Amino acid sequence: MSAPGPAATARPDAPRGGPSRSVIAAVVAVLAVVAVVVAIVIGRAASTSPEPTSSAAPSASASAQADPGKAVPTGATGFGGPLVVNPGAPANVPTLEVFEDPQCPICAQFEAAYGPTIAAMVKANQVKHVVHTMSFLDLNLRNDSSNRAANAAFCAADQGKFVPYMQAVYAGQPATEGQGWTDEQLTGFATGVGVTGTGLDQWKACVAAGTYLAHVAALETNSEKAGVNSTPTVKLNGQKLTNVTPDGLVAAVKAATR
Amino acid sequence: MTAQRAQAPVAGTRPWLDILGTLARLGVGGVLVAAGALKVANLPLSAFAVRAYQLLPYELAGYVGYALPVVELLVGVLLLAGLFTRWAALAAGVLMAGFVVGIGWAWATGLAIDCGCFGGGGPTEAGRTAYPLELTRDALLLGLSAWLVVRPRTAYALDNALS
Repeated sequence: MSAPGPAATARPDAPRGGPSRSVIAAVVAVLAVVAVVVAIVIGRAASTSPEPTSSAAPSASASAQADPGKAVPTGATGFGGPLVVNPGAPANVPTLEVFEDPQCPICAQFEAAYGPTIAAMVKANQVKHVVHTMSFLDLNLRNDSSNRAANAAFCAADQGKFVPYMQAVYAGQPATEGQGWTDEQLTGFATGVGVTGTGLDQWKACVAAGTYLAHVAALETNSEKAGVNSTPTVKLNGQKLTNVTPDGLVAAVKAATR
Repeated sequence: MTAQRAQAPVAGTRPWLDILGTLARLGVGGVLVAAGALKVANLPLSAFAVRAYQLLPYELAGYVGYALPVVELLVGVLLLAGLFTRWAALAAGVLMAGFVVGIGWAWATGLAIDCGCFGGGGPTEAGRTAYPLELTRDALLLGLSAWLVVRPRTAYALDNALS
């Protein structure tokens, strides 16, 4: 039995007939195990829904509850696979992979600085441009805008407008990171890049149904498994590129061309 | 375990060391409760943060991420209450050692991630990492935990009220 130190234990001694240390230890141990199991169950449940916890930005797409199955947008390599901007690129040109999150401000800067250069190389068949649209910022920013913007971009891919749509998204990033986009803003991006008429109707239906949300979630998982841990990340033939200027990028692509 | 010195009024007691121990206990416990509380409301983000270290397989990293906030809260509460101090301090020390290894690994391999220690986490824009600060903080907490394992006797602790 430990005597209380002279510096005072403010509490009185527990009654002799009270719970012993072993009993309390057992209770704590059981509590710990239960708490961990519950946390894992809740965590898994919260992670598997394709629609993350909802945002401050009001979302009118309540039908995101609909099960999107495993739909794959036009141009994607498969379910959870990246989108190949120019699949018709010649076999001897290198593959340029860009990992970006729609809400990432530095990704917007990257697109503004390198977008035209990359587009020019794509047009000249000098590079195969592959885009991995990530959506982890929804977790950090506690909204669902990355997922919704990515889904909207893939719906635009079905209309042949993926790259212009994403450029509009980056150009239209909110003043404060975390505000996200409203459905009206996302629709404005679509009409702004020329999605009209029946195409717009199809796009709207695609967005309202959340058709590619499962694909977006799978793409995010695969990007994490591929070891991408910073955005934007650029890989040329699988090798990460760092500290290149647009001219440097062109030179690197040229050097990698067989 | 405690040295017997001629000057101490009662063999084995050092009141001022008890107070220091209390401060250590409250410090480590407070940090752990804060860290756990900030993470427990967003378990998917906690899982994501652990995965970003790329130290564990994807699924296992997820489980660690889900469990970690709860473990931190539990160990933190035990330390704040001064209940089973030696064991709680040992658990806290293991956690801190794990964080030091994880953050050190991330730094050494050139990952650019937010440590996720107080919520947040996962990939971060390169240039916003704060590895030295995080490592120093966790090493300090590891030291305090180790002290408490060696000398778990503190003032105002529930341990003192239990037989």
